[in-house]
Amino acid sequence: MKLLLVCNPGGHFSTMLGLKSFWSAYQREWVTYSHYDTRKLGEKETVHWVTMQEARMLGRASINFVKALMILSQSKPDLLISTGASLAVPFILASKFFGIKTVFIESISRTSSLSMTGRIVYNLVDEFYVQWPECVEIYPRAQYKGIVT
Amino acid sequence: MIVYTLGTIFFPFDRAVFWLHELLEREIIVEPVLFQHGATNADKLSHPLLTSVASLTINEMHDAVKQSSLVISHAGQGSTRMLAEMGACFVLIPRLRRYGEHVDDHQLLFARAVERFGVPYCTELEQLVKYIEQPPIPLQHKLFNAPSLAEHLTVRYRLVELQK
Repeated sequence: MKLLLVCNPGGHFSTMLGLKSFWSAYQREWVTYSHYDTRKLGEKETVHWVTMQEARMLGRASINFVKALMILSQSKPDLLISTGASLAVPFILASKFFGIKTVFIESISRTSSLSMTGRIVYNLVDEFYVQWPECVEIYPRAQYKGIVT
Repeated sequence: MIVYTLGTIFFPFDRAVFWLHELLEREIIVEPVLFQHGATNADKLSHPLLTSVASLTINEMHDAVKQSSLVISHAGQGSTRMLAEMGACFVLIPRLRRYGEHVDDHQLLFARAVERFGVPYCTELEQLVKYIEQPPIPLQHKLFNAPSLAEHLTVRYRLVELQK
């Protein structure tokens, strides 16, 4: 199984690093943009650097959607995992065109409601994980299976 | 030493810079401060006790936290978990939407949620003054006592592989 790990820098990137015990067992490639923390990632991992895209940046999301189509057709992952934030949207949408399975993990900072990204991808992804049990009551498609430590 | 970090997200957090200015001018802070200002402009802030940097590497941040008597941080989940894991003495300042410090108020909601586990936060300067005068006690337990999602995914996808 080959993975594509998609995350914005900052807390989302540190969350993805927190899942290392899972993804390190598989062949994988990353998608993120260059920032203070992610810059060094390329030394050890295969990284597709994309356009900086933060919340509500629709123009950049469109650019990254085109990039997503290119990256997915080239990388051919079996499973796409995203810990957010906004970069998840173009990549999860593009995965639909290739029939690639998708997993989204909502940030632990979302204690009682989903992020805008979470709400957009909620009905698109195959598996949607939240990190607070109470979120499952409001969002029944979401699963709580623990937190990223 | 006090570590004062706004994270590295691109939204400005000018209120936190103003607070730091006040804390230094009023001599509430009287020890060296390492200030990670990220994307917020901090050029106007200068003080003999202050060292400003846009960003620290993860290792530099760990070293600084270890040497610090108090860490004042934005309420980002990555920073919060790191500080809790390191057993640091820390207090959070959530970024608020109404001042354009983030897209929404999730940092405030997160701060309220972790307050239940003993993490202090403040939304007013005078609250922060109290935490500087009397630093909070570091957490004596893990911040979150919950199952590991990584373990769940490991087991789940091992099964998916086996079924192929």
